[in-house]
This record gives sequence, C-alpha cells and structure tokens, in this order.
Amino acid sequence: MTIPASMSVKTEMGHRGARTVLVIDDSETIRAHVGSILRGAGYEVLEAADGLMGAFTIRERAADLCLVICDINMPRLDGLEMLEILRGQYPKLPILMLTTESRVDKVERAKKAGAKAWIIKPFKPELLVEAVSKLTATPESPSRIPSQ
Amino acid sequence: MEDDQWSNWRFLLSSTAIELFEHYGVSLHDEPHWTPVLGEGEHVAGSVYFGGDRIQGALTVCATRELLGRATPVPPELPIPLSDFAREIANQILGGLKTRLIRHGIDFSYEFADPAAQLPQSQLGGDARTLVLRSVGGEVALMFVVTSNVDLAPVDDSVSPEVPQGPGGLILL
Repeated sequence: MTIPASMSVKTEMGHRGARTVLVIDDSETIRAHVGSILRGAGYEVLEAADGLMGAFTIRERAADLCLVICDINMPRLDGLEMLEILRGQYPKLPILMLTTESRVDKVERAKKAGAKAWIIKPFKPELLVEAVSKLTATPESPSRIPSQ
Repeated sequence: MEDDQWSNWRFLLSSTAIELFEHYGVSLHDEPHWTPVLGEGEHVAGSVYFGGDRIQGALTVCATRELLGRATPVPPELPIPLSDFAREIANQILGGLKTRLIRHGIDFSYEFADPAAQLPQSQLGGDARTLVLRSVGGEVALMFVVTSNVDLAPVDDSVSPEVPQGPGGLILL
C-alpha cells in the first residue's frame, strides 16, 4: 500500500524542542489512556485510529513530533506495514511499539523498519512515561530525508 | 478432539483472563460448572475475531458496566464507550493467549471482519466449541468460540519464539 501523494505535504526540517507525541491505536480507550498519561507528563498528544491515518499524520506533522507510539494490529493498515512504508524517511523520529504482540520475528521486523522500543500491553503508566522520556531525550526533533 | 484437550483450552483462557484482569485491579475466580451466564445489572460487551491456519474464532468479553467503569484506565470525563474497553480487554486476553500458544507452535492473526466469511470451515477442518467462562461473582463472562484442529502438545522449552519480557516490560531495540 502507498500513501496518496496528496497526503504528503510537509517536508521541511523539524524544530528543536518538539513535545508532541502521536498515538496510533484503533482502541479509543488506549488512545485516551496514553494521552492522559502523557499530557500529565507535559507532552502534547495527537491521535490516529489506524496505520493509514497515522502515516498521514506523520507526513503532515513530522516537524512537530518528538515520538510516535504505535499499535500493530489495526484495520486498514497495521503498524508494521505503516513503519515499512515510512522506513528511512524520518530517521530522527523515534517509534515506540505498544502492542499485545510478543513474537521475536515481529520485534525484529519492527526494528528493521526503524522502531526503537517495544512494550507489551497491558502496561504501567510510570513505565510508559519512563520509556517516552528515554526516547525523546535526544536534542533534535525529526527531520525528513527528501524523496528520491 | 478429545474432551481433555478442551479442558486445556479452558485453562489457558481462564488463567490468561484472570492475569489480565488483575492488571486492571479486578480479582476474578472462574466458575468451573455450568451456571447462568447473565448476572444482574447492566452489561457491556466487546468482541475480537481471530484466524490462522489451525485455529479461528472469536472472543467476547461481557462485563457489568459497574466493573468496567471501575477498571477502565480512561479518565471519567472522557465520553468513551465502555464497549471499547471491553473490546480492548478481549484484545489483550487474546494477546496473552497468543503468547502462550506460540510456545505450542500455534499462531493466529487478529481479524477485523468475521473470519468465517473469509475461510470456510471445511478448509480448516477442525472441531468447533464454545467455551463460556463466568467469574464467581457473575460480573464477567468470556465467550470463546473456536474452531481448531490443534492438540496442545507439551511445550518445547527449547523453542522461545516470544520475547522474554512479559506484559509491561520495555524492550529497547
């Protein structure tokens, strides 16, 4: 699957100090739970309900994002497929997989596609905040590699 | 499939569900005998379908609105339907079940439409059962509909296709 060209609009460099996290999950409960935890920790939060909307939001808002939190099993476009479509385009944008999946081969596939961390649901809020803090500790927010 | 095989399925499902509910602060004890599934009060349900080469079916979690409202991690001011939380619990129970089944060499994928419409039963060639588990207090019932041609053989400890971290563990890649 490819993302329609009309969805690919923002390509400029990201700015330092971005504090916005994109949460991609088909469960409203998980999006609200994660959003509430992260807002409490001082982050802005954007939401997307599947991989297609997630990819669209990343392309639209990459400059504002410091992290993507992504589920795997979702309708329309799953999280691994989304990562593989976007592979290499946002090398400074860390991606945390938050999923019920625990297979080593899926973890390896996510790593190859650029994911930096993996948490198996259910999770404790303090662990999520700790993981987000670690992953966003880099001094720069994402920049996009121009299309070939 | 022999009846004792279905008791293995029952054990996997009930133990996974009990562990999962503990995470949300709810202590469950499953009911080993036939009892009426419907308890008192208003109930909410959520279902997840799954399918694979050797297993397919659905898991429905039905629980009282009171219990789900108590356990949900969503802030009370947000108008998110409790059916979404019930579905997420079904999703997470299936995730735990999937992890345990991987040790038996069995895997499945989540389906976003009824898999029976995509994979005719004759193609799977398995035995079908409905396992209904109900907590002793009657607040939670799980309905697990499964078609399977799998005998759950003893786990091969030399095979560990899942990551060693359990739920909630952070894996840096």
